[in-house]
Amino acid sequence: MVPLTSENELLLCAQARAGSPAERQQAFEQIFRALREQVFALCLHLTGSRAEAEDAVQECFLAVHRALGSFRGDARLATWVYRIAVRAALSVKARRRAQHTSLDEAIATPAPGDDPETQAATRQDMRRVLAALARLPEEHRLVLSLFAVEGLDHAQIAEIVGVPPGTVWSRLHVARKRLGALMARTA
Amino acid sequence: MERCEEFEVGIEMRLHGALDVQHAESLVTHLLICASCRAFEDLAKGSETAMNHQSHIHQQTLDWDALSTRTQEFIGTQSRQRVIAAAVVALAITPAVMLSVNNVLWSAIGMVLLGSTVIVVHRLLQRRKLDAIAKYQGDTGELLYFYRRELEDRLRATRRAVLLFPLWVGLLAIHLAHPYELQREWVGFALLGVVVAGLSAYIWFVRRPPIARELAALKRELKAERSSR
Repeated sequence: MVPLTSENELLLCAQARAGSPAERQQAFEQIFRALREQVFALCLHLTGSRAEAEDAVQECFLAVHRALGSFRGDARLATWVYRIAVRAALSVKARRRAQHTSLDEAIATPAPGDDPETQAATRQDMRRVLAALARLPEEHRLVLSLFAVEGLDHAQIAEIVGVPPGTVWSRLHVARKRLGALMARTA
Repeated sequence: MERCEEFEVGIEMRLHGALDVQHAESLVTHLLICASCRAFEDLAKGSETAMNHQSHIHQQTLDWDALSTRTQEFIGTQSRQRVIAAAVVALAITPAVMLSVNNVLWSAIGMVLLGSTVIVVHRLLQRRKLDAIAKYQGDTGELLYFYRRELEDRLRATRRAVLLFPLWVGLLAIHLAHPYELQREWVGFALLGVVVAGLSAYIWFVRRPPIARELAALKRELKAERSSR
């Protein structure tokens, strides 16, 4: 997998805009492979459900494929894709609001190598965090989810959320405090 | 950094590799004497680890090839659907317009001009929306509000389907004002009327209700969120 740097981002965008259909497809596949895991993680945290996260990833990359030709490179490509992912996750979540998502479905099975005690403790921790995360307001969940995505720096997160870079830390702090309060209430 | 609140922001910054050395040193000193900030550090590290752990484990069992194939299939289906929809509309409108206008050449030119205008306007609107999403800078930073505005826009767009009827009635009135004798013009107008009615019914009864439901649910959630704050 080739990581997305600002140089190969420019090349990919040029390919997507002016390349042959095969080159456009290649550019899209490269973007998909480079960002799919981070986009999935973000969607998983925002929706709280694996099935919804998969749908959101699919919707996000459909939108990316449709709009890639008109992407002008004003922002980093990854930032642009994450913005689309946020929108896709919110949209999927809004559509399925009526359906109840079980917390057990959202909690992954811990790695098989761990001993049963560690597994139980990990599950318990994840259950508390996810239960609290699900009850957070959307904007707090968003900032916590973005910071949990690997490879995103605070300037990119600020751009995605639409706040000045300095403000994003205080937002994260407020969100974390609220998460802590909800976790304490759950415990 | 002097107050615990500032040290807590420092903890977040250090956790994400954004705290400079000088502040990091004063944070370490503070953490030795402040139990509340140590608890906050545990919370920050613990919650982030739990979130990362969850997504990593899901990713290990996720069939990326199947997801990629499904996405590619959707892209293919969407492209085909667009082509089919354009062909159906063109096939439905072309004979109607050609029958309702005397001069075939001018009607053909009119069709091309009309089609091009519709495509250009549609692309401009799409681009404007994409730009708005890409450059989103909300006053409150609350993406749900942005999403609601977008849904409202889409709902407004579907309401414009009603305007197709006055347009058709207008065309009919113009036609009646000019007493052409050709029977085929009536067939053309009838065909146009069927197309307009079909399009409007599709937009009104198929496209509109899910958007309206989504918007209503979103408004309810925003209201609940506001009252919980």
